Amino acid sequence: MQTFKVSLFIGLIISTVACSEVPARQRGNLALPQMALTPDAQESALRQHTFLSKEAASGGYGGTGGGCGCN
Amino acid sequence: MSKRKNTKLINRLTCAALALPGLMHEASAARVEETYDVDVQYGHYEESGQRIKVNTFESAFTIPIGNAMTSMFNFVHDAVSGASPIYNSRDAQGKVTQVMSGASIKEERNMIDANIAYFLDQSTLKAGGGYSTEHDYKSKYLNASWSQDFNKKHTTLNLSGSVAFDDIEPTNFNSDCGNKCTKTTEQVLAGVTQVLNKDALLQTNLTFSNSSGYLSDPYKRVIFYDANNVLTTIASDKRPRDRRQWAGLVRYVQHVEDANRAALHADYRFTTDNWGINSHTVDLSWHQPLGEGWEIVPRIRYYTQGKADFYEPTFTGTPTNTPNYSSDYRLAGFGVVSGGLKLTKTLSSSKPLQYLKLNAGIEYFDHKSRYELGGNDSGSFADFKYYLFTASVNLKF
Amino acid sequence: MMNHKKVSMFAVALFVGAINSAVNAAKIGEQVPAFSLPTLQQNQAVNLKQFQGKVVYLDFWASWCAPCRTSFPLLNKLHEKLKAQGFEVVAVNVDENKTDAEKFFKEFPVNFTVVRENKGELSDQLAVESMPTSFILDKQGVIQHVHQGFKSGDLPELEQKITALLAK
Repeated sequence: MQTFKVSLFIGLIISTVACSEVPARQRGNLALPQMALTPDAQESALRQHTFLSKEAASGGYGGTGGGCGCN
Repeated sequence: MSKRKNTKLINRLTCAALALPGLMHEASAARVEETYDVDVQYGHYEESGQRIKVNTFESAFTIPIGNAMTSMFNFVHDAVSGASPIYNSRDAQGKVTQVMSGASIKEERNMIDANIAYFLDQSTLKAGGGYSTEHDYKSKYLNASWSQDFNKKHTTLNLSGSVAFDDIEPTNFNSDCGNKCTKTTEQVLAGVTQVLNKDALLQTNLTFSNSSGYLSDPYKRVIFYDANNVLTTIASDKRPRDRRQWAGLVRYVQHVEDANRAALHADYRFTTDNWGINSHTVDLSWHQPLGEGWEIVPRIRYYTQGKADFYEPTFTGTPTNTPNYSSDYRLAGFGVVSGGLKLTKTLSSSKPLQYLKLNAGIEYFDHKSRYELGGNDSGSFADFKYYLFTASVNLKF
Repeated sequence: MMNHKKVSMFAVALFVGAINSAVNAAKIGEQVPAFSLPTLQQNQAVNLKQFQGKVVYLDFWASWCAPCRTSFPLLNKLHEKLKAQGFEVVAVNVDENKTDAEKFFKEFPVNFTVVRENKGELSDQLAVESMPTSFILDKQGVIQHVHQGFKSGDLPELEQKITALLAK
């Protein structure tokens, strides 16, 4: 039941937020360093490492995407 | 009952964190960049009440290989010292107190990790592994990941998996596993990153992890009392021999042009496992450029977890009637509220350096049982505070 | 609630389909449409007609595109080497913010023609799908090669193609 609620929540977010096609020339904002999913990899790793040591939960983080869409 | 003073009882900050090492490397370049990166970070972690202190030194090197590959090497050195909770005791009136280990010893951990990424036009393949060692805990792990772009690079599918093999050789003889215990963990991740519009990004990830083997803490104890609050048994921490955990994460990134091109990052994560622990995490940060290469990042986080099915601060009865039992504060119900601030300065003038970034940040955490979502009446005996300070240098050339 | 989700998804699909059909994919053998764009530095008009009879490397770049940091110095060297034979480089900047482009130009000054488009006038017509994308035009202004991305190892092959077109 919980997972269903969460996936519904996610699905709602995706369908209500504007989804539009972004031409390559307009990816400048997405390419900004502060727009990266993880702007500071080392800091993020240390924070997650700290949480894992003090809290029971872990996981969820990983993967790439967004950015400038360059080849 | 005498307080057990064992100078070798150190908090498992370091080895506990090895449960899921493989998938920590989230931010390598999404496509090949013919540049070298050197990243060096120092971290200082400290708890209130003369508890654990950790100094950590990390260095990471990214080296391009030819036109389509990048290699990355990571080294970590942790130095841990201080006292940590061993067990909880209950007095004649039923009041619970947390009992710490005695004087502390310095403990060190070293880790080495490497991976290779191969870039194609629309996808990236990555594989790597590492080894971490400290005097009573060794871990070897492997990981692999695949990222695939779709829809003119608006959508990225991410799949990855990792496996870790841990050897635990507690300094105190532990009857549960003799001289050596083993633990195996596998984790898989499936996720989608979607470009919503030219100013926003959404990532949705699902991870599943399975741990099996010796999952208890060999240095922690569980105290059993009878109905009159008289101590009957001191037992070793005994957790189930398997743990399956699911995590679902939603990350949203929004560009705010008018605020000098600031970016808002909002994460929500839910986890649930077969130990009965459910958690929610909300992590918000605001990345604000200030001009002249300066950037400030304030952040707030709220974490809440429910207690494990087999957790009690102290137990009534005997171990023979209880299949699993633990009084480890990390399996209790609690909430953590934190706030932090980070400052970055980017210098990007002199070739061949693409940039030099200097970062310094601090984050304060308040861990209280009453912060648990939905309330918690177990009292403040296990409450504590801690902070994390980081300073780092990033070089790209 | 379910209906609302379905309707919005359908609307997005329609929108995406409409966008895709509006743009003609630029292919080899097509003529580059006549364009007139201002230069980045002096804001002077540059017309495609000026390059009739020359082999042109038409490059779409942005300050935020990492491979452009590699391509600019290499293209500059190539331009110096082959310009006497009738080779020209026209780099079209697509940055939404002009100051970003100027900052990039200060870090990578080049001697070839650098122009700027404002709202994707040329890049949309040529269906530029990733950054950087470049087109090699023969002496008649016809697209003979489309190159996506840029790595330092791409240069010998590009030089070969350009030299071949210069010989015609």
